[in-house]
Amino acid sequence: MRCNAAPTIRLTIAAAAIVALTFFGCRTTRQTKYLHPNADLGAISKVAILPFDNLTGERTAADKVQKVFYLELLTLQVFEVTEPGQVTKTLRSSGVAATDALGPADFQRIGKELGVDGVFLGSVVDYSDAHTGSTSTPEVTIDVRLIETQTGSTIWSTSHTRAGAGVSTRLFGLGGESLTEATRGVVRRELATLLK
Amino acid sequence: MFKILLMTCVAALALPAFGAPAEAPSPSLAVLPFDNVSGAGDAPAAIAGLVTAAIAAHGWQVAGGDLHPLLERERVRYLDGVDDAVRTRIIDQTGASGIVTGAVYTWSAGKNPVVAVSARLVRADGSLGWADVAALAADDTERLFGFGRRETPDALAARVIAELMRDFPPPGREAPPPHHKSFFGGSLFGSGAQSFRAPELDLRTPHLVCVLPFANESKSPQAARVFAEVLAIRLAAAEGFEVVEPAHLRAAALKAHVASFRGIGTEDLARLAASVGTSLFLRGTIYTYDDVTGRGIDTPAISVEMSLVDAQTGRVLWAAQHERKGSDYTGLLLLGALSNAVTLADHTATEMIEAQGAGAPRAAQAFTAAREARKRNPAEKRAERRDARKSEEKP
Repeated sequence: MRCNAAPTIRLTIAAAAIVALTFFGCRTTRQTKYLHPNADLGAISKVAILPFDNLTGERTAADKVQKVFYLELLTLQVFEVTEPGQVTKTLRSSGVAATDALGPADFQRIGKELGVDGVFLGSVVDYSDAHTGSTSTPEVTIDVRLIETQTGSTIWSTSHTRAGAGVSTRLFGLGGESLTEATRGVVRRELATLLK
Repeated sequence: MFKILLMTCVAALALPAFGAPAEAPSPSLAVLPFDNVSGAGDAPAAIAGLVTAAIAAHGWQVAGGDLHPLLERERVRYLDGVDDAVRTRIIDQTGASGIVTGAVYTWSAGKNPVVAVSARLVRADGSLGWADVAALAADDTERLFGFGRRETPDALAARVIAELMRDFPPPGREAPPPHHKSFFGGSLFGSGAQSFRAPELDLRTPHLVCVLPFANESKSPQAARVFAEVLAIRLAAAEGFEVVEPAHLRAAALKAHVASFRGIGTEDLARLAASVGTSLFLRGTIYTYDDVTGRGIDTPAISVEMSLVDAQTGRVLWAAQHERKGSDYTGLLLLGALSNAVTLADHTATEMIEAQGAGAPRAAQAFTAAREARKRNPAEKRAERRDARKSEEKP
């Protein structure tokens, strides 16, 4: 009896270990979302993307993430997106150095100057690429919000984190995604919440 | 009788040699000194000799004479191209049918030497006759059991120039369309270029595009220049695009008092548009440019983004992002990995141009449709109310 039970227990433990590795050892994603109850996203047709804040140690993180966000927003073809050069020029002429210091009145003024219905603001909270052996395990957290320029209030906000490697990467060392790919994944999930 | 016949035949054969007018000399090309981006002082001279020989082998004469005094007199500071006035003077002075310009991007010795060169043929009328880029590392030249490996940059340069000038057009002929020399036809790993193309960018008709200097966030000082030039070469060869000469852009910037292209606004681009002859400007940023010539780097890597802006409307017509490593192209038996950054830049640029861009996802289409329907509703309601009022007014 003992002889028969031992292999069964071992098999059960092995199966449990695989399940644990698959579910607890793989990529984690966390997301929070806010949508203003009276928000009318349908009324927003032209938008601008302001420079993202960088809360990480990577110098170019904000610029890279903003460019990824910009391309993904263009690809949706939902909004008309203002050309970045025009945004830079408007902010420069208004003497805006940091977007985190902007208030509702500033958003209304920027909206008027750029001729947009909404502005996207973002912060890059995490942007790092760790390596486990030969596989890449990026960690990315991005906060984004959409501000209606008519009122200067936030109508949509979301934060998304993606960390760790996927199952195939953990188990077989295959298909490790780059930091940019992880960023694109985060941005796509965030924008999907806007369209729901 | 036989003797007379023989003499007549010999005379007939000999006549054209003396009596017929001499054949017109083959057309010539003026070869400008190659720009040296590599930093190796002896590179341009070595490359110039090889290029001159290759041009001659393709049936052209190389216009003699030292062009340096003319270039100094014209105050030509940049050798990547010359403006219309200087080109005309060079053509007038040398009698050439076109000029060849180029740049040496990499010329590095060491364990695995790398040589990278680009060249362009500009016709007398200013149109681009041919352009290409070629780069090799010593490891690329190694054959079975390690034979045939080119151990020095000089030895490698001969192979690079042979590769570069392979499709150089002979006099009176067009250059064949460029082709890729990918070992297994493409990358097995890594995702493709991410791209957006506005519906109004119709590539069935050619668009003149002005490639602005790229912003450089990488550690390599020459990254922006190399990538922008390689992209311009591939763009000029692609269907639907023509590219403004770099010298033309520099002259336009001087005229429009544009000192820097970094973060340039749409209004400044609109001012430039009048001088360069197009409102389409391509700009971008290089984030990563790692070459194997750097310390501790075993595979080249590039990360880049770019966007095509219409300065007239302020709209982005095309945007693309891409990142690649040389090892992404590794195929069976661990062969095919790209050995150097210039070859990788060439592949990256081509893939960005070829990326068609995905259509809007279903959720986005539904969102847009719902918004349009909501926009239509108020009008419909107003029309309904109007109809109702009219019907009430009727007795």
